[in-house]
Amino acid sequence: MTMKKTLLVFLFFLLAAPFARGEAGISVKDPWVRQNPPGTSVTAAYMVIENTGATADELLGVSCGCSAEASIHVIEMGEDSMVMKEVPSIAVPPGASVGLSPGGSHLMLEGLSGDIKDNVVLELKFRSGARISVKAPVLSPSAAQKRSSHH
Amino acid sequence: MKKYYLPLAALVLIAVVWFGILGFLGTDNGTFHGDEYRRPAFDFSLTDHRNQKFSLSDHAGKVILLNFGFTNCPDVCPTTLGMLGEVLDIVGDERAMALFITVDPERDTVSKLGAYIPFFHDRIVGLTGSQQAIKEVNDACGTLYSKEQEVSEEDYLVIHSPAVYLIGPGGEIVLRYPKEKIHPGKIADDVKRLLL
Repeated sequence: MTMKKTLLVFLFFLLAAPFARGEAGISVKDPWVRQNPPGTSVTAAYMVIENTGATADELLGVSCGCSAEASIHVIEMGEDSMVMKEVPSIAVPPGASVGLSPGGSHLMLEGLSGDIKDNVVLELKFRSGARISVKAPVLSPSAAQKRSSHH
Repeated sequence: MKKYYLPLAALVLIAVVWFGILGFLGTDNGTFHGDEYRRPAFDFSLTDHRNQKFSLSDHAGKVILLNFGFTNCPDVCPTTLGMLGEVLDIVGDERAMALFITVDPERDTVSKLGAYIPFFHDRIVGLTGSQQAIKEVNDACGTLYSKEQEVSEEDYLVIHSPAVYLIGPGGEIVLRYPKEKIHPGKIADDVKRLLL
């Protein structure tokens, strides 16, 4: 293939990717939510999003019956500070796993309707049209520590 | 051929000694896991989450982990506090403690910290105080913090350093752990070494 052809094919896939639908390639593994400390109404949810499909996908939004608001955050490191930044989406390239983990990208749950315990259900919405509902266990600080050090 | 033996033997001997020294310097009992951050002994007085006055100088002889944060922080602060709790459990020594100093004293009152801190560990002390007092501790450690552009008066985040500091028995800051070096087992090793 000539260079030009390769480029054209690449461009085609690049443009076509966002419109691809129906590939059941997205799955969510190991979801969990940090138990909110007493007196707070904000926490974070973590998981691994896997795309086994052949097309790129994107997490567009999240909602939880447990909180008034839910948003996607990434962390940007400054020289000696870190800034949490809300982003509209997180890309999940084909064949890739994207980890949302403590101190990194996460789903922020704000305005919790009360102290959360046991499990909460998160609804995730993807660009491909996929809607995934996951039951995430609520972990205490020590359980969260164990979980983090095993991954 | 024979005349080469002596210089060769000498060279081998030098190499053995040299790498022996390097090896010794590089062993675990020779280096800390955190970044060396020698700062002279300092002191501060703040109010703890049980509404008692807390002065660093009252705790001489202890090894103290110090971290800045705020209770409305969804991810980094509770992650660090959980990690500090694990460090204290691994160390298992009454002479080790951790401090969580709020960078949001306006909202983080004594009662707020009183509900928040015991959730993580009974040897973590939450501290608050005047804006000025909080700033002085940050200055002493060399950390910066700033209120994120306010969404509303009640709803904002505080941009701050995720680093953990280790204060030695003499009250001096000995080590600093930037985010990528925060690992409970390794910090616990350093705490144990300072307690020896």
